[in-house]
Amino acid sequence: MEEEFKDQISSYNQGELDESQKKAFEEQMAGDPELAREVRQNKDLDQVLADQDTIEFREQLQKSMLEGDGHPGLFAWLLLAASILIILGISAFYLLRSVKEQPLFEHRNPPIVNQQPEDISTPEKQPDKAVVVDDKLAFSPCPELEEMIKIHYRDHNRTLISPGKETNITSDPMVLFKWEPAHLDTAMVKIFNNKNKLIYQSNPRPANYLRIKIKLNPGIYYWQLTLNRNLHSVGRLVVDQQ
Amino acid sequence: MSRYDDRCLIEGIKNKDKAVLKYIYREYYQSVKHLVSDNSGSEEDARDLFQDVMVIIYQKAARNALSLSCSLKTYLFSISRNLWFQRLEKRKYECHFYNLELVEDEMAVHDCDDTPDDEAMEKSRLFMQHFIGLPADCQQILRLFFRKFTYRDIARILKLSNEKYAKSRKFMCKAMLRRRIMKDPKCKRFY
Repeated sequence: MEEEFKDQISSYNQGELDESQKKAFEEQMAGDPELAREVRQNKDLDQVLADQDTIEFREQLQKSMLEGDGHPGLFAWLLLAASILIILGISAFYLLRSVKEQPLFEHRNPPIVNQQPEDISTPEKQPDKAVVVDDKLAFSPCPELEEMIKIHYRDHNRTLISPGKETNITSDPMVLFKWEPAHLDTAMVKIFNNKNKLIYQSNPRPANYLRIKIKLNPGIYYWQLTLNRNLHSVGRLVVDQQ
Repeated sequence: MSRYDDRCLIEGIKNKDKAVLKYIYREYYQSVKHLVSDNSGSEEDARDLFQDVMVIIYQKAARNALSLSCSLKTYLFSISRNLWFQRLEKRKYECHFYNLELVEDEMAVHDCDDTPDDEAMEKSRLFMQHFIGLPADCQQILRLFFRKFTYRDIARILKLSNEKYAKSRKFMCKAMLRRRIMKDPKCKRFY
């Protein structure tokens, strides 16, 4: 009896009932929401099961993903072990050498370490650290980049709201790059030092604003904002003495 | 250097080639994972998304309807992004566009915008997960039935006593599958 009933659901979903049977079944459904729901569920199920090729593809893909996650083979383990031994060997060599060469007492000035601007798009991401040679003339402007600041680049569609062409970084190291209208544009920020040397470049990404955390030694720097692969504007950043 | 070019990869997807699928997973999954994890998603979300996107590509490739105006990697990422934001929208999560990272060909992404009905994809994945959890004989009988084998052939292939029994088994297996699906909490949002 139940099979006959299920058969009727299946026949209805596959359009196999004649007009009078169809009408009677639809009347029955109208008075029985549970039946109507079951018919809909069966229809969805039939649709998925009818596509056996996709089911097989999903199965194969799942297996491939599991195998892709799997443990590396014996060769890979041997390679890893060999690499570790080589690294340990080299480290030991340099460690012993540095111990031998270093005098017992020496006054050294601490190295001046600059951190590159931290892109805080991903909050948990740690900033990249890079050692940049200290520049004694860090506050002398770069003529080429100063010229670029004066240029109004031809982009009629986007107006830069922030930052200003001249921004001083003191206590708050955040620089907000914001433009209007705030559509998703492929945006990228580059930062140059006063010798026109690129010291930071963000990854191009769809964005309607970018926030960059600036952690640089005191001096003059320049930013360039690129929107949709076109240079949009150039400005100056002055990192003040703390 | 890439082991396969896009043409080989698409052909491999079409043929359900295990080596190609494994290669694509190893090479491309990480960018999908980052997209999801940077935008309020879990590892499970990323795996589901990757599978669904691969199914979309497979179905198009199988119909010979896949003509790319960008690389396969960009295409895969573009669909992943669209599908993921559709899902986020449904979940009403706040999403931060600026966390997105494109992998290449940024300008081509919009040309590749081609995302199907997400609810159908999610249903398909859910049903499929329960389908592969069925006893092997149930899977076999349903596979044969939906491959349009007659009950007589099904009975012969599976060495069942007769057609009637084959039919009865098929109903029983399908009912079991439906029950399992309907018990799944994920199913509630569909019905």
